[in-house]
Amino acid sequence: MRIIKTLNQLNCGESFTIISLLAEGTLKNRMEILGFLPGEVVAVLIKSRSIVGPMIVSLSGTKIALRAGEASLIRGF
Amino acid sequence: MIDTVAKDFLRKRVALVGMPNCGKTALFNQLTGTRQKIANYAGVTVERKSGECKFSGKIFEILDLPGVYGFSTTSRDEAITKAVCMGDYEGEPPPDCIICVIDATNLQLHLRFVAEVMNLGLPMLIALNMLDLSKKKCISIDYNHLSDLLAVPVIPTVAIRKEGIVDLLNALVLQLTHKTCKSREGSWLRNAVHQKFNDSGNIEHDIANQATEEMIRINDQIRSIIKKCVISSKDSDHIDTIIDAVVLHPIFGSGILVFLLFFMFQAVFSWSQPFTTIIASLVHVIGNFFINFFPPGILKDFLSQVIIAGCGTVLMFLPQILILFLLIYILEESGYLPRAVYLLDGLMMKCGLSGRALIPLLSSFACSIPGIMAARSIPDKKDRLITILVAPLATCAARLPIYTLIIGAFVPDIKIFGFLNLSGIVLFCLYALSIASIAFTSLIFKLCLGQSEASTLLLELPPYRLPRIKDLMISLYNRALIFLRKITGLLVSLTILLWFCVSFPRPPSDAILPAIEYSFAGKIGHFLEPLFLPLGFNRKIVIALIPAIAAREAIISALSTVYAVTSLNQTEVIGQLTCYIKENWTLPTAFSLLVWFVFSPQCLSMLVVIRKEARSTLLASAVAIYLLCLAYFFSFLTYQMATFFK
Repeated sequence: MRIIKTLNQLNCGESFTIISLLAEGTLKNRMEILGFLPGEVVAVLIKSRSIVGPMIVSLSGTKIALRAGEASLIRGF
Repeated sequence: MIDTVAKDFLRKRVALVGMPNCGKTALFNQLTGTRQKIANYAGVTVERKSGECKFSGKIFEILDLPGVYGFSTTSRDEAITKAVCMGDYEGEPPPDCIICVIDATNLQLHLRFVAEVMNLGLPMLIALNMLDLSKKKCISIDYNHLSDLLAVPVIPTVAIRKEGIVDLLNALVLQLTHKTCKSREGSWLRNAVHQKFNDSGNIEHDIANQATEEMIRINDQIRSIIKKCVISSKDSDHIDTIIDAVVLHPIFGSGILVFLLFFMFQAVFSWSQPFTTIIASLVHVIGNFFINFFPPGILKDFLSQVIIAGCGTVLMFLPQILILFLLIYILEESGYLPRAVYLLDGLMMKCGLSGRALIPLLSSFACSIPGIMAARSIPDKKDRLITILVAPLATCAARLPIYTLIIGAFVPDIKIFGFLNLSGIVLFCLYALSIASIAFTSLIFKLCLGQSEASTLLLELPPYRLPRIKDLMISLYNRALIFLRKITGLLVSLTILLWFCVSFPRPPSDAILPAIEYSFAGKIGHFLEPLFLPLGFNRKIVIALIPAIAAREAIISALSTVYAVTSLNQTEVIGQLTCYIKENWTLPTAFSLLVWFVFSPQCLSMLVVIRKEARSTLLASAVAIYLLCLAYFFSFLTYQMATFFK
């Protein structure tokens, strides 16, 4: 049984399948449009060392930069 | 009959839509060449680009809509794009056909956008762009099959090499004659929606969840469509991965970024110098040529000091703006800019600024006018506003003459620790003060305006691409036109007002004081003198500050006028002026004036640009007032402290 995590808890090189988004409103819309949809696999490419710093993920062929705060709204396993 | 058909075609409107980085602009440039018109949509700063395209005797009006990711969020660009497509935008008739430009190398993302566009239910075509890159990546797409599955004509194009343009236009003519495809009807999309309602029976989820479920369903549909018509051998964008590993590396990446920023600053600062000099002397020569036809007197003064000087001021900013925008366009087109934003986001966020404010602020250190213009690339309204508000605090090149003059007169030319020049240190302190005030005021503005909800990073990092010279040149040409058209009118009229203040009333024939002392400016200076006394400014300084409203560097010539320094040689003027102020000013006064220039809003062109960019006279006045308050407060503090400790 795998543990449900949020995207910001993943390390560089790790990946998971999205279950749900905790974001709401405009932010949720923007995330969905970029492809953060349940069922999609997202992999962390680059993560800055500070906890709050931004990270770069790969999502079905697209590279996306997002802040740790935004990443913490994406849940998956 | 044929005639009516021909007339029918006379001016068909075609809208180009697409996600950012899909090569839409390159396609637009290929379709319209230089026959482009750029304006703003009424009431907003979103650019409206349109152009004409002639094809086999027909004229199309092509509209290049802002690049958007979809229509469901509330951003300005998206709202406008949707409204224009639907014909809901005032003064914009609905387009007869939509060309949806998509990137063949990233179909999963771009087909989701196609689904959004199809949902609008308008006649449309798909331009499957960047086919050359997808071939390079070993992705082969059966576009006929894709066209069948989507129920929309798909035309393969390589916009940068003009491939597929004729096919696209042929398909466009076909589409407009037969109006075959009302995209929403009978399409795969509708099926998906129907299926959904059949499945769930009744609506038991809230609307937000429904939207998400719809998205997931469309996403799955797209996945199956891609599976059917795309053969992709393994992923091979390893070159990008290698570049990213270096460019986004915490140490190397930051180093590269700092180098690039330094390079840009240097370029705006020094490359523009020769061009500015050439333009200045050209304006001077041409102006003098015409001036000589007029007899000496008020008319001649007016022409030489207002029309020629005013136009000269506008033209002199042009090289800086063009160089800055050329570099910005190169960074943007190559795909580096979003990466720079990523690298700096953490740092800039601490000051209440978004990472995207970097370029506007950096270029403001050369000149705040291109900097404020560059702020239009910041998508979030509040972030853009804060950037515009703090940009004038950056120490621009025009402040250097007065800094050098005062430092030359008051700071002894001695070395500290044997190698650090004291005047260099003072100059560095002035820059540091400027940076600190930017960080501090932006933080205050952020607190006052509140955290913007839409302020997110969520940035797509596009693949690296080589920018194309033709596209760069077309963008630059348009940028120059916009700048000249926007700025000239207001700036020239304000210059006229200022000239009037400085030159009327004329001095009496037995005048002993310089002419400016008798003018309105002199009287205003007289009147304001008590107000500026706590700052240590004497009447002459206050009077000199008035012409310096036009441009900060004008303070030098204004000071030489009030101190009646008469010499034709510029270096001699500076030398004499240095002696005068050394004798007449105290050290606290000098420091106070330096600090005044760190904050003061004394540049008319800058206020005009803010007025134009923010489309608000109120905001431009607010900027002027808040800068004046800052300048007054800090000069007061400096003068009083310097006098106290003296």
